[in-house]
Amino acid sequence: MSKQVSFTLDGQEVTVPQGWTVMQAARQEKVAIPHFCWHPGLKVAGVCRFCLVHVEGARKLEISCNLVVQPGMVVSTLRDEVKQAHKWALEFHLLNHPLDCPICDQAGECGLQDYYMEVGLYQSQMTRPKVLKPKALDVGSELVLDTERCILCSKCVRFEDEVTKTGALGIFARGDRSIIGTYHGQKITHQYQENLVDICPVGAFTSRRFRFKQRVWFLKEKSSICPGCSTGCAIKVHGKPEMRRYFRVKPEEDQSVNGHWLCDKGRMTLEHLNPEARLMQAARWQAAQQAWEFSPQTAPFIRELAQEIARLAPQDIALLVSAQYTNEEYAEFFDYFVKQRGITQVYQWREPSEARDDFDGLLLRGDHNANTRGLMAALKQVGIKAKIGDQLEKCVAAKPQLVIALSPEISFTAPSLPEQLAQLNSLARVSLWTTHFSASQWTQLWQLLPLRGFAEKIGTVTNYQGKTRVLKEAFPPVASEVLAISQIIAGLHKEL
Amino acid sequence: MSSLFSPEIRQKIEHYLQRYETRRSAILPILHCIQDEYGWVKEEHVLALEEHYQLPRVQVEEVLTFYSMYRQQEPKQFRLMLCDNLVCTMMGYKEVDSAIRGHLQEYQHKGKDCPFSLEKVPCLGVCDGAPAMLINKTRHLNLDANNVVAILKNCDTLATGT
Repeated sequence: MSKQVSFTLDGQEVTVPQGWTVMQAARQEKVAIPHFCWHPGLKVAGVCRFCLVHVEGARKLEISCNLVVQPGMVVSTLRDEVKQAHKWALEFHLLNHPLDCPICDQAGECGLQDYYMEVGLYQSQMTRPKVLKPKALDVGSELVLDTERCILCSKCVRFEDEVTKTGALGIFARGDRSIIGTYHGQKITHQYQENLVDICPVGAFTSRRFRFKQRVWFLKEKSSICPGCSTGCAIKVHGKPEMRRYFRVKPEEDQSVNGHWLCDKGRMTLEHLNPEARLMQAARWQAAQQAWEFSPQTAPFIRELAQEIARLAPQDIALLVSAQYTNEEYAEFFDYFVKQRGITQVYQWREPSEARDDFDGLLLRGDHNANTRGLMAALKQVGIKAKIGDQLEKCVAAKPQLVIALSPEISFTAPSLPEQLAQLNSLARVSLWTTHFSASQWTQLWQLLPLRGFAEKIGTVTNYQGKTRVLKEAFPPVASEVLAISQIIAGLHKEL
Repeated sequence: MSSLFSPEIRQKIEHYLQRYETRRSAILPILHCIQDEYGWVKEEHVLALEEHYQLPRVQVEEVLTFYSMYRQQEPKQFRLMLCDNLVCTMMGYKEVDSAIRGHLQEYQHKGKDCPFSLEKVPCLGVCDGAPAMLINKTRHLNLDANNVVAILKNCDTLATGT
């Protein structure tokens, strides 16, 4: 254990590891020190001059982000001179800030706005017009940049230098003409663009996907786990439960998995929760009309499936399972079909093009399934040897008459699924259990049963490290006809 | 290795890169040396520094735009740097300034290409010769509305070569 240091923060005795800064200690103690340029995942820059604290015996106020705790130090964040210093620092930051909060997407979660309400609330002393700078710049596929709102905290520059190591952003020119930007307007191309939006303390970087969609104070946020790849980053989904709609995904700090960050692909996973992408009702293919017939009643579909299971011998039934479900769902699914019904034809569905061991060096892994390890463990549990490989061919070769398939939830992880389902469908009846529906891609399957999405269920998933974490139910299911796997299995139980 | 820079410049760049603790610190003298050689810093220079010396283009651009005395546009043949500090102002800088402007406007009226650029600089350190002006690297002292025009006309003949 590292050496500990004790000091006094606002009259409280605080002990922290040696080498910590006052800012880190205050964060641990939940003492709010206002700041713009400090971020726990980035190096200290000390440019915003906002996190000033009073240290007994020091001649001037000190910036707490760069002040290493010394034993016996007496630090105050509450003294009047500290509040005054915030006020003056804030006035500096607002000199050329356009104060366009009513039309700014950051309003409601903007540090500048919050501190203005807290310590500002004065008339500007400036009589000269504000310096105008370029606005609404296209700097990347996910980003819109407004250089007028920027307060030059340099967080985004450090993110580019330290985290993605792409170094695409810089601060050009000088003084009040300084602007943030890329070299000659080049585009940022990496997979972590929206983190710039997250760390921007003002509305300089806004998300192209989210901007002008919702005011942030109308959104509710719930913790979840990203289903986009086997890293399983901790996330927060933001949405309106009453609309059954999700608007954005942000990372949640989890030092053992994703730190502070989340890739752009992970943020796209929320599209699979919203009604447009969802299978909302059970459906069957009507060959005569060449169209899907949807029905709010799921019981008849489950009865049909039960009849089919009863009619066929277990060796004529195959299970095709993707690795995007929870450990509990797998346990229940295999317990019923393998242990109770004696089905031994179990195949793991994998995207043929996947580069499973790929890793971008930061978060995103080539295994685009959140629970590969969980599935392997669940298969082992019921005594089925399953290797990861092209199991679809084996499934086809086994010539089943009924295929019960747990479809991958996130469609971008499974581009070849519709084609493969069509191939299977020419051989057997396919009962596809899915959250996702695409009328243009999927045709002629025997039946579709609607499942709950990742943010609509409770369970555990095991990521690539073998860490098992709890997935919580964020909002209620998108439609009442959407089922949990346990509900379908309970229905089958009743019928058989 | 890039043929954009002459062997002498390349040698200087290598020298500066080794002189400092970080490569980034060498950007400042490297840009000076490029500007001294070519008169200004072109985009292709910045890109060549990234390609051949691993100096990121963003970092080079940051330095280049921070300092106003790096030129990113091709300079005119004669750069007039007129001092507008206190002593020069007292000694008649304003008359000199309007005489120069008058002369430059003639090019506009005639639709001719102007070989001059005019900028105001703070003290040139020759207050005893105020008002003072630099033309490229040559000092001109004790200016007034008449002799400055003569100097500019002299430059004109050099420019046109007549």
